[in-house]
Amino acid sequence: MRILLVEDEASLAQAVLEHLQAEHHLTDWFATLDEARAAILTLDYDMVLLDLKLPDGDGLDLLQTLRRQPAYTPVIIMTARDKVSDRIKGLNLGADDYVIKPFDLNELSARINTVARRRLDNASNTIRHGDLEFSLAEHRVHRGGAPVPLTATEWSLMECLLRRSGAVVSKTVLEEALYAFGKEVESNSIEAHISRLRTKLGRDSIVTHRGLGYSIEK
Amino acid sequence: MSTKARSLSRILTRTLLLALGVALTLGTAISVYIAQAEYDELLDVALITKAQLMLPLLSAEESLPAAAPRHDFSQIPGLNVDENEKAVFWLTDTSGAILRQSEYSRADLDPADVTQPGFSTLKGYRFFVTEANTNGHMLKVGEPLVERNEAALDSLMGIAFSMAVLSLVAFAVMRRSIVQVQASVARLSSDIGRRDEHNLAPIDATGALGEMTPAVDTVNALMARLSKAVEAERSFATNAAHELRTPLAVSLAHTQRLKAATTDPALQDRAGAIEAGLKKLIHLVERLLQFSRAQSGLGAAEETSDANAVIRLLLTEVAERSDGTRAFDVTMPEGQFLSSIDPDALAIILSNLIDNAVKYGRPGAPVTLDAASPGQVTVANDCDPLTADDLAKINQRFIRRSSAMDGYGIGLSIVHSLCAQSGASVVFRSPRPGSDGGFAATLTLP
Repeated sequence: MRILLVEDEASLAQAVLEHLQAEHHLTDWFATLDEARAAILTLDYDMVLLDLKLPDGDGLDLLQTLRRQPAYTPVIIMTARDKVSDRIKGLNLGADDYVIKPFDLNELSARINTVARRRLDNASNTIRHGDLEFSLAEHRVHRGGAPVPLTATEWSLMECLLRRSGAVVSKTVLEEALYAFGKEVESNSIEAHISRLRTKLGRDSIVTHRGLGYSIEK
Repeated sequence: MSTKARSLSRILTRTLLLALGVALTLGTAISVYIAQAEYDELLDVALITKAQLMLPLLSAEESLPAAAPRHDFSQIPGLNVDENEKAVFWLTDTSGAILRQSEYSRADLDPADVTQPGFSTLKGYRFFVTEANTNGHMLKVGEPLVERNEAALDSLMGIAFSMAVLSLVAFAVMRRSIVQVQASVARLSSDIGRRDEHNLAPIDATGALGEMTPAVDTVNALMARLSKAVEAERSFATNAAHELRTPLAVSLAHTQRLKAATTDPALQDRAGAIEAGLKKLIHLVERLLQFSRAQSGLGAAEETSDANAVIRLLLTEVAERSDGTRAFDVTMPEGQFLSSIDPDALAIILSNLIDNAVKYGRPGAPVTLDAASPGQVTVANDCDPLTADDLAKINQRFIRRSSAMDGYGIGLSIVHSLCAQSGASVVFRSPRPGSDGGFAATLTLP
């Protein structure tokens, strides 16, 4: 998943960033509301991890901005505010979940998976597609019962398509899902990754829509 | 030890009534005495006048030749009065021989008993004896005291009646004044009595007695200071929570990353030990922060709010976030339940009750969270039944069932403190209802 981490405590953000990267999530980190606003206007994120007490304002303002956008981006609030009224306020404003600091990184992963599963309307956290079985929590793929090893980049690309299952995903969105904010993208890299995925998962696993993008059938 | 407070109204009524009674009694007595004295003086003057008028007449008549006709006093108009009110007189010479006397007389009255000129009182009569005139005659005139006594009694009755009317009016006015003062003091007292750590609003001095205004101003000034202190205490608890949580979050996250990143088993063990210690510290800090907030008077909210929204949030969170080692049998509340309990206080109470149920419940057995009854939440777990002594001790602050049950005391202490502040109550039962074992805590919201 492409995750936006909005956290002003650099040391905590660093640890969370490492943890999310270790779990094969592509994560962009920003410490201020202004930077985060610019990021969500530029890229589509699968998830936002949002601190509330930020140097230039309240994270709930960003949440409201996100909820005014047509595309729905799940938001998990990460806060040191333990008042239940703050939690209720955050949820009422459209947050999908929250974790109270200090939190266990594994609990954070569990919350991310739960919210993502809810978003996919998939209670088991597992997606079956023909003889393919994708485990979103474990980042594993099985083909005909046999495990298929995927690189982190390949998994990110596949997950991006799975989360938009049935819809045509543009090359730009796939590039955003693969590359961290500000990094250069090679012009033919998406095609190369798609080709490798088809080799591993089957030729029909990914459909090409010429001039539009790629999709996997729902 | 408290002593029974004395009533201002009772003290004022009793004191003023006593003072009024004494004043009216003394006033009546003095008034009657003065009136009687003045009346006696008037009648004495009249008696003297009467004697001085009668003496020359009687003396002159007595000096007439023996054959000359004498005046019949019984025929004089105005003398025919009630016998008890008839005056008596004797015209005597200096030797005391009676020359003339009133037609009416009483057998027990003897002119020899009154010999000295001037006034005397004898046998129910007031006598006046004149000096001998040039004829050697003296007149002894006596008037019955009956009339004087009647006059005194009439005066007494009149004054007493006036005083009674006066006292009734005075009592009514006094009572009204006392009631007004008492109402003003009671209103002020009630206003002050309603103030506590949740209500430190200034007292409205409108309508208060002028004498009370400085006291009200002082109380308001003290409450303003207290309000700031309480607010500072609450802010500290809130800010401390934030300031403590962030570095703990950083420490825990980096420790977990270190543990995950290393392949050295020894380093993993050490990182694991640090992680376990940090989690214990986090739990303790959480409890201390809750304790601090409970001590700062978090319990009751100024406005009512839907407690069921908080209960639903917490029970959903507990059920969703279970790590799989403990199952929860959850019954959600329906609709709204408006309660005056502070939402954070409710969350802290429930989290502590649930923590205890998870901690002391039999491993593998589900914890029951039942919020089906409006305004009630029951948290129950399976365990061996507690003894009555243990159950009683659970209600006591910082009592621990055994050294192995670390942390049992402070959690329930926080629960008790918040319940006392908010008006909520918790009833502990063991065995749990419908079972021969287990433990159940039922929270009833205000």
